[in-house]
Amino acid sequence: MNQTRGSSEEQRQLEARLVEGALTLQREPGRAFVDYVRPVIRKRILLVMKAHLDRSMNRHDVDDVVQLVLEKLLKSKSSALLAWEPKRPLLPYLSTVAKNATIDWLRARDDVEQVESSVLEQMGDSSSVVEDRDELFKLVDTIDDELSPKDSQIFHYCILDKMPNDEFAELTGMSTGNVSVSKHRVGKKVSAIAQRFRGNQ
Amino acid sequence: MNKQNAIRSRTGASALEALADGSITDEERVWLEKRAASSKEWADAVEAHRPPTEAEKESQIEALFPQPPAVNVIPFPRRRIQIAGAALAMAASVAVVVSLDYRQSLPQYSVSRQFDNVCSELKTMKSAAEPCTQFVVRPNTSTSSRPEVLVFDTASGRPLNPMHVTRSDSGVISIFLVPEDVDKDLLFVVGEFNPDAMTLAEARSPSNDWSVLTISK
Repeated sequence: MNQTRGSSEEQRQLEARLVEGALTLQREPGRAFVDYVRPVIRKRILLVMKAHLDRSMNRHDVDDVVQLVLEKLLKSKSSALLAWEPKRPLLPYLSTVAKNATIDWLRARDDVEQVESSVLEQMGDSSSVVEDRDELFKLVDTIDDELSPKDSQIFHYCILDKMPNDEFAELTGMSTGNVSVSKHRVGKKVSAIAQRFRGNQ
Repeated sequence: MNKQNAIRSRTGASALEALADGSITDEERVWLEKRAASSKEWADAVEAHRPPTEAEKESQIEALFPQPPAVNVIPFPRRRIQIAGAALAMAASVAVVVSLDYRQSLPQYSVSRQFDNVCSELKTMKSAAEPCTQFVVRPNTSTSSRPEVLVFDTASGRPLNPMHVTRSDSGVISIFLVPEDVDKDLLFVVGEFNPDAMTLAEARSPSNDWSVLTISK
């Protein structure tokens, strides 16, 4: 317990030093900070973009948003780093900054899906679409062969892992309505694949 | 999330995440390659999740923390130069940059004072004192030539010994002087000559081998 507390305290001290170094805008301290935070920022951006984009993901777009987030952190006068309190874990905080920046970036390009209220009214309870998770477990490979990367993410988080809609919405910056619609659509696709699978057996 | 009921097998989505964070297994890599070969959408997703290369990381750092243009640090040799007569003293004027004499065989140069992050970098090297002003001798057209540079105090005719001279590949020469030499009327000689033997009088004599630039305090 003490060890955990000690290592957690060490990590916070390390993070405080990294942030302090980054804010000097010197190259080497900046590099240490960027190397530390880049994986978390990039991961969240990928997750959010994948959830929102109907078109293919573009690596250049991902790189652009990573750079945008880093510039917001390091070059902006209203840098989110200045608002960070060293008592808070740094990486979850920056992950949220990355999510918000990605949503802003998507919104500026009209790439944030709008909720179709008519679909919401018609679809009912999406959980009824996918009834047998054990069967889904057996069919995962088949299903994944037919889903898009975006649908695969919904399938993984919302159907297999049963992440609540509001939690997935928080993770990706989607509205809970959009999560419901997406989950419903993916559920229907999965059901169709499962039925075909059963018919072939 | 209902962790108790969570299915722990990897899906395409989790294989992509594993690719991004470097924890991908060979089996998942093969699956992703196969999927990418059959679908542009998956190929794009795989490419987007590929971790950045070292070159890409470096490019990102360069964009965030640009390096100064200088790439080589060349210590100036100590010079024993005879000082020319007082007649060579330059009249102080309001002109900031004056180019006196450009030779046809050399690219044209201009000189300016500059205070920027290069100075900050030098301070971190503990090799520059306050105030850190640099003088930038810049060719007006790109050149690959690497001319000599000498600096004279035009009032006294005394040659000055810079702390550092740095050169970029594009021919830009940055010169860092000690603080007491910064606020003077200065004369820069740029070209091909023997820096250990040149006097201010010689610098001022017409030549196709060097240019003379002045900057007032």
